[in-house]
Amino acid sequence: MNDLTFVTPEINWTVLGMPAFLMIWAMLVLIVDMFTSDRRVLITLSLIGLGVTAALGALDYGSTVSGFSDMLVFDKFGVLVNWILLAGTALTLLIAFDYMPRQNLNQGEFYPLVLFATSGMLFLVQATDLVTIFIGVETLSIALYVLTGFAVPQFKSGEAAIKYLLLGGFAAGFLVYGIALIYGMTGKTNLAQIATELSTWQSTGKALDDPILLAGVGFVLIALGFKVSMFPFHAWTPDVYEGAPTPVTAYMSVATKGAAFAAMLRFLNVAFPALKPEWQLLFGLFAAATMVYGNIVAVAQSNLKRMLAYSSIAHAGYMLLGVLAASEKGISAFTVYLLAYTLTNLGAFAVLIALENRGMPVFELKDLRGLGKRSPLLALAMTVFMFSLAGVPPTAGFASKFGIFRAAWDANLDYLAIIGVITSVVSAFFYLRVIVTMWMRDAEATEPQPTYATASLSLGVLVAVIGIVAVGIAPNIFTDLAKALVLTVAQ
Amino acid sequence: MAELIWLVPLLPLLGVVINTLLGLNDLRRSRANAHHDHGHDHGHGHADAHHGHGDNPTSKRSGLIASLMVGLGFVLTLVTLVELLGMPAPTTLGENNRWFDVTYWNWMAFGDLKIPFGFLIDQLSVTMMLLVTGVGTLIHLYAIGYMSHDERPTRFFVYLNLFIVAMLMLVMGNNFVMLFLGWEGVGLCSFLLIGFWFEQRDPPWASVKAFVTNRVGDFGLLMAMFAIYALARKPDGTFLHSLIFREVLDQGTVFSLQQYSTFFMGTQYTAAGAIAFMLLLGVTGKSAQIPLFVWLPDAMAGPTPVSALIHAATMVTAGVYLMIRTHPIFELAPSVQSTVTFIGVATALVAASIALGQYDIKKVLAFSTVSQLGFMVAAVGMGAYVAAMFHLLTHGIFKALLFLGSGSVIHGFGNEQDMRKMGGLRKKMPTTFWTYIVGTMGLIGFPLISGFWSKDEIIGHAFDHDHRTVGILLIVGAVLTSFYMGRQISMVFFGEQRDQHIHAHESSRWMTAPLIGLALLTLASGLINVPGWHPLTTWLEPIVEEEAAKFHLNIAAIVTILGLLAFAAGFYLYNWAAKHKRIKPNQRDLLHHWGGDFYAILEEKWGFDALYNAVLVKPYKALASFFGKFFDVKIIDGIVNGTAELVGLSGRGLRTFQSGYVRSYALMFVIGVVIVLGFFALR
Repeated sequence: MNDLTFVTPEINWTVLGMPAFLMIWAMLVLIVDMFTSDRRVLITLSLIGLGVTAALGALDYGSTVSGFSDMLVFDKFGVLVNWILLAGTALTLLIAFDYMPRQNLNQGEFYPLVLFATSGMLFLVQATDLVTIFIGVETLSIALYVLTGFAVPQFKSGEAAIKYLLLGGFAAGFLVYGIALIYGMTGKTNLAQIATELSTWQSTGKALDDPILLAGVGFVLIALGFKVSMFPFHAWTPDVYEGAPTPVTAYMSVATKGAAFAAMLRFLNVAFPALKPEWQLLFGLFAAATMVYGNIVAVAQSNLKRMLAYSSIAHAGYMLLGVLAASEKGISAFTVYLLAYTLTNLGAFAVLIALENRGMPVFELKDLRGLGKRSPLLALAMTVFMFSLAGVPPTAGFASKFGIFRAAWDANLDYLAIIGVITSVVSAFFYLRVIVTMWMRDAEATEPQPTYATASLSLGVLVAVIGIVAVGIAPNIFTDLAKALVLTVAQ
Repeated sequence: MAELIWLVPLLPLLGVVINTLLGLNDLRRSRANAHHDHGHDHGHGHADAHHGHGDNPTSKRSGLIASLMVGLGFVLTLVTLVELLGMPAPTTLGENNRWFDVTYWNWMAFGDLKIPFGFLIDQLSVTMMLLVTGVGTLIHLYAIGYMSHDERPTRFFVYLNLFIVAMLMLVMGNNFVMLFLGWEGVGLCSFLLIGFWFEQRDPPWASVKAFVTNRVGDFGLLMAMFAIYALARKPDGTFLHSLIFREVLDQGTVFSLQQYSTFFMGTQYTAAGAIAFMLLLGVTGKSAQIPLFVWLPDAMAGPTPVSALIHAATMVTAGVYLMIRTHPIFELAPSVQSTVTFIGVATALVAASIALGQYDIKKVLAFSTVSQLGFMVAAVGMGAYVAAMFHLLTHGIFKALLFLGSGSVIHGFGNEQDMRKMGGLRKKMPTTFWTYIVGTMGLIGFPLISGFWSKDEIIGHAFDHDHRTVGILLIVGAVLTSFYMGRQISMVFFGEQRDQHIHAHESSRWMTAPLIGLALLTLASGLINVPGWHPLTTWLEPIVEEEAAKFHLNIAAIVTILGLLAFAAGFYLYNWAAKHKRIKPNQRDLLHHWGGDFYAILEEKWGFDALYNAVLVKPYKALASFFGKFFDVKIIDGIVNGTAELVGLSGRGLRTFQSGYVRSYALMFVIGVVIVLGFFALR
């Protein structure tokens, strides 16, 4: 502090590579968008960008590098989660490609906006400092607010965007407040340094359960819990999911959750292992409430998008188990779960997109009647997705749920594992209802609705189905990959 | 080749995928056609299938794809065989270096149990693979002709290919779980194939019967696997906890199974005995032995001789394979070995006698198959593994020939299977007739032709190793076999055609060509283990550790002479009966006139079906209807619906929180914050 020289930060491209490249590429796409309205060019460019970003992660895969005064890290866990997010983004673009023009939403900004959001997520996944966590959360949020309101002609879309913005701002306040409290107590913002500071507290006999510190931890978790729609901070989810354009909903339901959970994982495991009993108990209760609430309310939904919204709340509860287990097994199970859930949920939304006509205000369960006869392949894919969401073998949903529950059980969170299994049974009710409606109920006598299983969408669905079956049949390939994802504790 | 061995099962799997896609495409097109002009497209989309008229072009297309996939697998297996032969031959007894064990990935892991996805390729599995892919290819080719009038040939070839995949998994897997995967896979495919013509009355029931009966056996195999996992120990006394063949069947491990014993229902069993007994239950299901053989004849009553054959020549050998693979366990349990022999002999005799009382051309062959399997099982029980394997191979070939021949007869005789309506077909179907004669010679052990050598090796082994009673009973079985074959040949091919309404004709070349091929193979197949050279013994010796069997001219002579006499007796008796118009459709057999009620017992298959119906099926159905109509509806559904209603009610109640107002959402948020702060404050 005495020496006021300006220190030029050393830019470590390995660490920054993935989010930075994607951000720059998104700007490039934005510029190209000014010269061409050909969406084929835009999606091709975007997909290339995603591919190159993924390849950047592969370059130094396996090594652990941290940079920018240890505010960001490049490690196995980060890269693996980033790959899942990138795959999810690519699938989103594929399923959105024909939907947007069909809904008269053919603005080219859609592609760069999605890429901006994704780059924020990649940044968040790699963040190892409270400040970078905040930046990551805000980067992804702002792009998402805009995407939610992308279907401006529709009233619901605008309403959803405003709700999301207001409540998101509210949550961001808690995030900053929590960061301030933690900084105030420990004098550090770096996650690893916070842990070191707390261990000196321990050795000097200072009490760890300082109320201000605890409140800070609580606030940060609340803000991240808001992003993953943890009960009782979930209230925005159904409205926003219903109002946003369907591909954006699909994207939010998987990618935002993945990134925020990754940040939560680092936050808890790197900075606050010392407070593990405290947060495991409190957030264990929240996880239980989330699983119970999401699944029970989903039963009462007749609108498919809202049903999937509540289902995504419930799945947030399951993923929270992996985070709370705070073990190697838990982290690996979380990663596999995220992969399975990403493929499954995007696939399910893709089927809805294939059925959604222009200006159709709500999408009811009964609209699926007779789908098994009208387009059996689409119905078959939907069946796979529903089985996977319900956790029926041999789909990815089963293998990943099994891993999560086992990790929770081994971490002595047995009551959570039991609640998880019971709520899974409840969830089978509304997932199977979809299957029954498609195959066993005949369509009403009205003119059959057309389906829009276009080439790009079909490709997305196919990739999802193959992935789900592959993870389901040979889960160990993926758990082996995710195994031993020791979180990097930067100095 | 070791690197490419995965192609062998993958190619038929590829065939499954390709044909499924093609089939879907056909379906879409025929729908589109039906949509465009109604009434024109009556050939497709109709349920009544196999009496459809005209050739279905998709049969040739799908069939060639499917056959090609299996055929390529056969070629690859041959290359593997050559490669194994190229490896140095073992020099001392018990040494084996002609094998490789490849693991592709870690399939499942539960605790300390690791199940790899991998193949064990050794002398035994290559031999089985040759049979499966070789005979399989011929069946596929033959089916092109046989299914040419069918409505859904593509679906049929998908099932056939899938069957081959499952069968290959069964014989190639390097652990019990892989074997079980194939074991269940062939079970599923047999269900699908037997019930292929599901519009008709019998096939669906036959398929359910086959499936359920097999499940009983599967239970035994599953229990055996659990027991191996729970009981097997390493030589140092610690638990092995593995299901990989090479680890479980390791000498030290297997030996440990003898040292530890367990009590069950008041009797003491060694672990080896318990496991072997449960394995035997699995074998009786899949290989159609007493008491679980009842499904195989019904499977034949199912529609296609092709699917009938794929069971007879390939699937049922799975049990024999399993016993040879796990023979070290059986050898430690002599009492179970005796049981195996007993079951084999009993099955051989009972099934052969039932075959005397059948009028359906395929059912005679079906019971003949059960009986011949009894020979193999008896051989395994006596420790004559090579002889069992030898008979498995020769039987696989000549029984394939006989089944395909019967299929050709049925196909050319207006889908009629009752032998009492046939007669004199040798003039109408010369190729079928001559090849059928060759197959029969193989089965009854005509000198120097396949069955002669293999059956004699089993019987000779019995006399050599002090199983005199077994040997004599098996000779009786062989005599019965010759008699019913003489009866069949006479009823089908000689005399005058008794039902003149049917226009008999020779089958197409797609069907006769495989017949000729199989006939040549039958003539040559005795060479596989001909005495004096016995290549099969040399080949399998490292696995079964068995010396070459001696050839007994006196036993062979007795068996052959008795057999030929019995054949002649059956043949001339029924020729005489035909001449004197004693064979008529819907009239009982000549032997019934003389044998009376005893013959009726044979016709009724010794009452096994009736017994099972009365003791098992009827009470089970009563129980099921109690649970289905009362317990489930009133009690279970009451609880479930009550719970569901409660959940739905609370769901609807909680939904009211979702008011749509941002302010109430923010309020909920704040409540959450208060909970967090309160929690920390109150600790």
